Amino acid sequence: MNRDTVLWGALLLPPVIWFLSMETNFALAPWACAFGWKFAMFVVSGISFALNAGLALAAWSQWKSLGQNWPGDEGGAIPRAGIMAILGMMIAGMACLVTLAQAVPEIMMGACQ
Amino acid sequence: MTPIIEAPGETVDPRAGTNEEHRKKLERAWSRPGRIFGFFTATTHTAIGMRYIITAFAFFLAGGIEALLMRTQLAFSNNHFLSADRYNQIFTTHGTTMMFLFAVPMMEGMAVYLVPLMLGTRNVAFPRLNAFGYYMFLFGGLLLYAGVLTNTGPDVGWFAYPPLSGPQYSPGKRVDIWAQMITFTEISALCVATELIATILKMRAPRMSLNRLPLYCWSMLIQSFMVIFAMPAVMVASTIMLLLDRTVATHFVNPAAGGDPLLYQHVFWFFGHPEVYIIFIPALGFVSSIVEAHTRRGVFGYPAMVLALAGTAFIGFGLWVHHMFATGLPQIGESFFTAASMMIAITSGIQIFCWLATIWTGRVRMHTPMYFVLGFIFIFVMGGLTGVMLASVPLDWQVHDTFFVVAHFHYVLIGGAVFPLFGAFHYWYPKMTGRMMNETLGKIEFWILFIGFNMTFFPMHILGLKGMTRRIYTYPPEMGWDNANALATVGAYIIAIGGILFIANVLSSRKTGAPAGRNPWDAGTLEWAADSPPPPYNFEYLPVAAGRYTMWAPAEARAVVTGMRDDRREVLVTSIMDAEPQHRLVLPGSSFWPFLTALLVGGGFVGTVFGFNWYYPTAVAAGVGLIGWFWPKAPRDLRP
Ligand code: HEM
Ligand SMILES: [Cu+2]
Repeated sequence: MNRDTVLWGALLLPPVIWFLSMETNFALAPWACAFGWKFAMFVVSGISFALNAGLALAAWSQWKSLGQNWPGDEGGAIPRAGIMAILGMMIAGMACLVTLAQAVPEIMMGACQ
Repeated sequence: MTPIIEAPGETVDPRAGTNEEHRKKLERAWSRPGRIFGFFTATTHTAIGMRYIITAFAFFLAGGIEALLMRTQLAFSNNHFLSADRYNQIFTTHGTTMMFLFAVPMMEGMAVYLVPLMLGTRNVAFPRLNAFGYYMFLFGGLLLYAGVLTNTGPDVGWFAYPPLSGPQYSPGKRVDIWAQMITFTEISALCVATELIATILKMRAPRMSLNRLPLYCWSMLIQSFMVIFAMPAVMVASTIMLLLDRTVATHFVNPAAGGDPLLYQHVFWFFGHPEVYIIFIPALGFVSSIVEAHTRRGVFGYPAMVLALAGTAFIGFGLWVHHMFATGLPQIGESFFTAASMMIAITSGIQIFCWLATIWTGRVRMHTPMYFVLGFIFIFVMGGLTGVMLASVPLDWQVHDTFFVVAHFHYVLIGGAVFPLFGAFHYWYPKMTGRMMNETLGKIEFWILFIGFNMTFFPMHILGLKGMTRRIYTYPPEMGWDNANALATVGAYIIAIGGILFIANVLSSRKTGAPAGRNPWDAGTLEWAADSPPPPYNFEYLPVAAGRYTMWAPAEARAVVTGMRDDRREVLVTSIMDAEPQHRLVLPGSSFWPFLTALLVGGGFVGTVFGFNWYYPTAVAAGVGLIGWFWPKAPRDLRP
């Protein structure tokens, strides 16, 4: 895949994936209680985590191939791509973290609490 | 002819005055007709931005007067200075004014003024849309205050929950005016958001690749995306669901007709929480700019700062249910929002850490803007702490709808937005007027505002814990709320004194302030390359970025663009990621149509408050306006 596609993907997709997983889980909450079955929620959170972790990895491998430099404010495409890769990594990582934080009550709480 | 970037050193230094004739031609191409008619044709971003700022400030004063009225009423128990009905109208108008007519438009106006200058271009991407947005905002505000002055001010709280706001419990026109006022202001915010996104992505100075974008511009880019996702939601809530329920008896949110009032709450808060960040994220941008200029170095951890802005923005869309903890939703569902509310503390923490690290390791010059920044950090940390407390469901149940909540959101809104904004006023005033503000007075203002603020709002935490609910117009003496309330009222008057001093400083410095020159703070970003105040074309020669802080680059590294025509409104369009020059774009000149279209559409919207049928002529009128607006222009402007 084209480098810029990967970079934009890692920047823009994590929030979308996380948001969809949160919405789905929120919608599942009454059902989880009615059927006593929280498993569906774990699946949704798991998928969200896996996809975001994948995007973080993709951004990381881009960053590696760009020379793993901490970019300053030099001009040109390489430093700019470097900063996009770092941002992608961090945003995907942040989305993983939020997904995890939201999974904690999922595990700890009873479905009908 | 393609634009040419002159090699460094070869051209005129953009800071040196040059070429009288070139300047005159630019002046002619960018000026608007004089007189009263000409006033309504302005489309330059500095003119429109300044109007936004002044208008929003006027609404801030109105909201402030309402706050003083409320505080006077609450000063002691059993007070009857205001009737219950007046009090309801006033707190609703205060909240509505502050959120929709002051905070958001003020942030938009500052950006309209500053962003093109910081990017090194001559105007926003859609100048007429910009003017249209301003007039819509103005008319929306006038509509609300026309209601207030005719005893038809809204009285159902700034979020107008049904069923209270529905046709059964709120007959009359009060709520309709509120709901349609939202439409005006949201249209305006959407206009600014679209043009800022286009401007930031496509009109940056050559070589200003994304990693060189000033943090303030990042904050406005991110905020604009938030506006685009959030604002339509509130229009759905107010203009479609609430207003149609009221005017043509649809059944969206009216429980008496089988509608679902919780639906309204969901849609409103899907906008309402991000709204807080829409106000707050630009303020973070101000803080970064001020910190950079006053330590004369870039903020430590640029990528982390951008991440924190983006993270705040997206997590901001995962919090809205924390406003609905008391509505009996499934607890496991609510817990997701608690978790997200806690996570957002991380992103704020990152920013505060980066600023403090920058200040700590640098040599700080303590001018007034820096005082406001430090005040902001202090107040905001407190507001954040009470916010995290509120995000826990049990505490929220305890203090929901009490003055604890009022204290919390004023700490966040005033500490998080108004303090940085006052810092920004002091910081950019020299650019906007060409003169410096009085420093001593500035520092006095700061201390008065800071002390007054804490004196007003700290006691409200205690009042909330003691059970004083919000939105009550008076209380009996047995409650033991008198002392804290009296203190808060005195504090509010102290804030007012601080505000008056600020206005005095602004007015007197315009005449007597020391001349500022182009770059009085020795700051790094490109707005400081323009004259103070900037001419309507901003830059004689468009600057080329020489790093994140072009003004700090050595003079021989700073290039300019030549080969642009100076007899029409030309700007340079550059590529999204690396800002390579792509082509020259001719922007439209002065035009009366944005004003006229806003007048026609606005008039129609006012009509819809009284009857649904007004939408038909409004649509036709909008069509007429747009035809005039897009009427093809004389060929001279289009020839290459
Ligand atoms: C300048 C000093 C200010 C003072 C003294 C003040 C005072 C107050 C008071 C006393 C209330 C609560 C009334 C009640 O619930 O009975 C209130 C409500 C509110 N204030 Fe302020 N305020 C100030 C500034 C601001 C600012 C700058 C903003 C926003 C940017 C703001 C936004 C709000 C909102 C949204 C409400 C809720 C209104 C409602 O309950 O519907 N205030 N203010
Ligand atoms: Cu919220």
